[in-house]
Parts: sequence; structure tokens; C-alpha cells
Amino acid sequence: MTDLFTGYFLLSVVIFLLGLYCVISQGNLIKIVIGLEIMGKGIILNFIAAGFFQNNTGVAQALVITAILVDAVLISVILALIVNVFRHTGGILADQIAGLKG
Amino acid sequence: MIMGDAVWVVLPEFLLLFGALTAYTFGRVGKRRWSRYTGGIATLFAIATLGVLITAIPAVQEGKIPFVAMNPGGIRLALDPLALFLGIAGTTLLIISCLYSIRSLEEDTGTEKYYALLLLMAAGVLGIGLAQDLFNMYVFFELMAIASFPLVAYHTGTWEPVKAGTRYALMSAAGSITALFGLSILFVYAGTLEIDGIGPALSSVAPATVQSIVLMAGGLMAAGFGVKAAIVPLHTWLPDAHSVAPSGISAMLSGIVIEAGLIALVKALMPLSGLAPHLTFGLTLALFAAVTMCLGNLIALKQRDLKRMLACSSIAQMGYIMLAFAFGMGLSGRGTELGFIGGLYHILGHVFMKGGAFLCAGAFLYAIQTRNLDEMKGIGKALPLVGISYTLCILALNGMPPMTGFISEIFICRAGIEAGGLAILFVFLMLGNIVLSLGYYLPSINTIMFSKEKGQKVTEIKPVPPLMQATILVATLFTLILGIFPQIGLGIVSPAAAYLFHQFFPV
Repeated sequence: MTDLFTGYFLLSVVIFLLGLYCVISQGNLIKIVIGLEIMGKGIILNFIAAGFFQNNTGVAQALVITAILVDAVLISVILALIVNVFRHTGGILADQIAGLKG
Repeated sequence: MIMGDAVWVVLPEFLLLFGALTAYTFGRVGKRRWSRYTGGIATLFAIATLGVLITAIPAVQEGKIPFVAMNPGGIRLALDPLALFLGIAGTTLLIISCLYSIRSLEEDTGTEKYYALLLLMAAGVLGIGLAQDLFNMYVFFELMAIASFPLVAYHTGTWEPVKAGTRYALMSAAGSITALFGLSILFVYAGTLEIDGIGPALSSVAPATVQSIVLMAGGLMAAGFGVKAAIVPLHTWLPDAHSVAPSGISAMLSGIVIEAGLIALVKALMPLSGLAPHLTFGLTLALFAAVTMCLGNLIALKQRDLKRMLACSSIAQMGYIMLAFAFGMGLSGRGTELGFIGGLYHILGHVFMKGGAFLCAGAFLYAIQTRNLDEMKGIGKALPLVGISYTLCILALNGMPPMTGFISEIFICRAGIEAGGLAILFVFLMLGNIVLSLGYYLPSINTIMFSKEKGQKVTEIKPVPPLMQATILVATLFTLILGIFPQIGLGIVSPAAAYLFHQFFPV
């Protein structure tokens, strides 16, 4: 692996961790979803960089396009659920769906 | 390019996906009242799928593995024994759940969405078995997960399902994204995600690097798929989601979906197992299994909500299955095939005993509109067939002799004893947990069947339709048949266990 690749890899880890921080620290459901998206984008960068440096761009492209598709479906279903949360409570705070009853 | 006996691989998956499309369009395009027939359509497609899978049994038992491959390095699907096992278990429960839902959701509108999503979820379960590379497995895993979120929150008019569904969706999404990160790390170093190809591809990498890759990728994938499998620190979504979902869905979620999550986890660890001899997945999994079964049983003890109690008991049952797989992978060194047989047999049994128990709880809910156990006093006398089925399913969950839970628990204990050493300690822990679980199973049977006084609502129950009772009876009969004639279940379990064992220990 080249040094340039290590740079890309570290960048993708940083993006992933930024997203994770966003998911953990934010109290707004929409912001949590944005955090999930940022995590996903870090992974996609990793796939693209790996494909490029291994001369395996065909497979990497196929994986990335599928991953984006899955991501889009996942996020739209979650947003639809959040719309329902809003209808019931008039808010979109994560506290409203928390409540640990074991 | 398509090779092999493609029809056995593609047809079951196609039937489930096409069934979802047909059920949905039929309910949407036709007149409004047509949507009530979508349940029947979904059932027909499910039966056809099961039929195709059953015709494939003899060929797979002979050791043939039908497969489909598109250009080398691309998609490869194969009906290996594990896929066949997962498909048959999932599709049988799908048929039971569809038939049950036809009557239990009679008053709901928009059932075409319900059945379409149900078939998509079953397609995801089957696909997890069929996929021969980790990325396709991830896609099918997501199909299963995404289809299950709206199903949990199906009754959007009430707050509880929406809350549980959203929480489940967010946790599950975070989990699957974490798993994808693990996959991307594997792809960086191996350049391929095919299950057979990862090991050889990593053989040219330095051993120290391989060890850290296996640790990172394996840990991330285990954490990601572990959310779905309800491994203990990641289980918090389960009691909510499984208890507020419609009962047919609770049966599917507890009966096959969390088990499919565990199978996905095991399949993700398969290519990594031989690469780093110092890392024993078996011991790690056994430790998590121990925590999972203890905590699952302990939180089930204090539940007064029947469906919630069954959901918590699912966590404990997942602990037993994980322990069995841990014995299969070996706590130290070589594992034993008996462990995989026990784990897979327990999954097969759990499909019917937990599925049946959830359907019974659903029938009680249908009859008196409450999930509270205290208000169900004496309901077993008012609904004798459901009450007796509930008793049998619960006794099976606890592992009483004539039922299926007994057979699989015997297999797990034998696997532990064969492994010896530390494994014996885990076997004793499991036996202790089985005794502990009596602490909530028996009082629930006592309340439902033998209570002298009657709950207020029990005096005026809504009669449970015969079709619902029939499906409950079928599930209960299966728990008895699989317990009395274990060779029927072993016909599909043993090849799958042998396949898994061969994947972990090729020589």
C-alpha cells in the first residue's frame, strides 16, 4: 500500500468517526440521520480509494453504487418513520424515543 | 453467464420478490376491497417457494450445491445446505405468519403493504443464506432489516409502535453501517469480498498485518451484525420492537430474523477464522453468549407484559444459540460439529416454539385487547386450544422432554461436554439459566391456564377465528414433531452443520 492510500484510509476513518460523534452527541433525530449518512460516506470513500489503488475499479464501482442505493432506501424509510414521530409528538427529539425499560 | 442448476437458486428468491410486487400492485391497482385478498396471494407465493426449496433437498443432501454466477469476481449465489436450512425455516414461518395475519389484520386497511414487506423480509432471510460474498450478504441483510422497520411500526396511528420502530431503525442502521465499514477494511487488503476468496487473498499479506485486519474487520462486523442478533449490550431495541409489532410480525422477527442476523455474523467470521490463530472467536462469542442468556432471563423475570416477556426470552434463547455456535467454532483450538448441529436445531425449533408462543399471545391480545399478564387470568379456559398450545410452546422453550427445545439443548450440552475444559463451565451456566427461565415461564402458564379467579376482561372475550387457531395448532404440532422425530429436522440441519464446520475447519 502506498502512502497516498494510507492518507485516504485515514481520511475515511476520520469521516466515519465524525459521523459517529454526530450520531452520539446530537439530540435531534434529523441530525442523527445526517450523522449516519456521514458515516456511510466515509466508508464509500474507503471503497473507492481501495478500488483505485488495487486496479480493481470495476468491482469497487459496483459495490459503491449498490451501497449508495441501500443507503438511500434506508434513510428514506427512517425519515418516513421520523415524520410519524413528529405527527405524534410535535417534535423530533431523540429523548422522545428513548426510555430504557430493559 | 449462468451455470449450474440455476433454477433452484433463482426461483425461490424470485418467487418471494415477485410475490411482494404482485401482492402490492394487486392491492393498489384493483378496487379498494381487493386489498383483503393480498394475504392469500402472499401465502400462495410463500407456499410455492417452500415447494421449490423442498424439491431441492435430495440434491443438496447428496452434496450437490446448485449455484448461479455472473462474470468471475461478480455476483455468486448458491443454494448451499445453510441457505436451504435458512430458506426452509424462514419460509415455513412465513406461511404460518401470512395465514395468521389474514384474520388478525382483517380490520386494517393497506394490508397490501404489509404482505409485500413481509415477503421482502423473507427474501432477505433467504438471500443471507444464498449470498456467497460478504457484500451481497450485506445487501440482503439490509433488505431484511429495511423491510422490518415499517412492519414494526405498522400501526402508525398509535404512539408505541412508532416509537419502537424508529428506535429499532436507528440502532439497526448504525449497526449495519458499522458492519459495512468492517467489509470495506477487508476489501482494502483482500481486494475481494468472496467468502472463499478472502483467505487466499490475505495469505500474501504479512501475518502481523493480517492479525490486526482480522481484529478490526471482525470486530466491526461482529458489532454491526450483532445489533440484529441482539447480543447483549446491543439488545436494547428488541423488547420494544418485538412486543409492539403486529403478532404475525413478532413471530417472524423473533422466530427467524434475529437468527438470520446471527447467521450473517457467523458467515462474516467464516473467512476470517483460520487467518489469525491467536484470536479465538469461539471464546469471545461464548463470553458474550453467557452475558446474553443471563441478562435476557433476568429482564424477562420482571415483565408483566406477555409479549414483552416472550421478547426478552428471545434474547436468552439467542444466548443459547450463540453458545452452541461458540462450541462449534471451538473455545480453544478445534471445535466440534455437534455445536453447529445444536445451534441450528435450536434455531429450527425456535422458529416454531417462539413463533407459536407469539401467535398465542397475539390471539389473547385479539380476544381481550390487552397484553398485560395480570388481566389474562383464566383465559386458557375460555380459549382451550390456544391455551394448551401456549403451554406446549412455553414448555418447549424451556426444554421439556417431548418437545423440540429438549433435543437441541441436549445437543448443545453434548457439544460442550465433548469440548471439555472451560466449555463444561458454560454448559453449567446454560443449565442454570434454563432453571432460571422457569421463574417466568411457569407463572405465565399458571396465570393463563390454572388461575382460579377470572380477569375482568376474560368474561367477555371476542372469539378467535378458526384460521388463527389452526395456524397456532400447526406451529405447536411442529414443535412436537421436531421433538419426537428429530431425524426429520436433522435431515436439513446435519448437512448445514457439516457445511459450517467445513468452512471453519477445512481439514
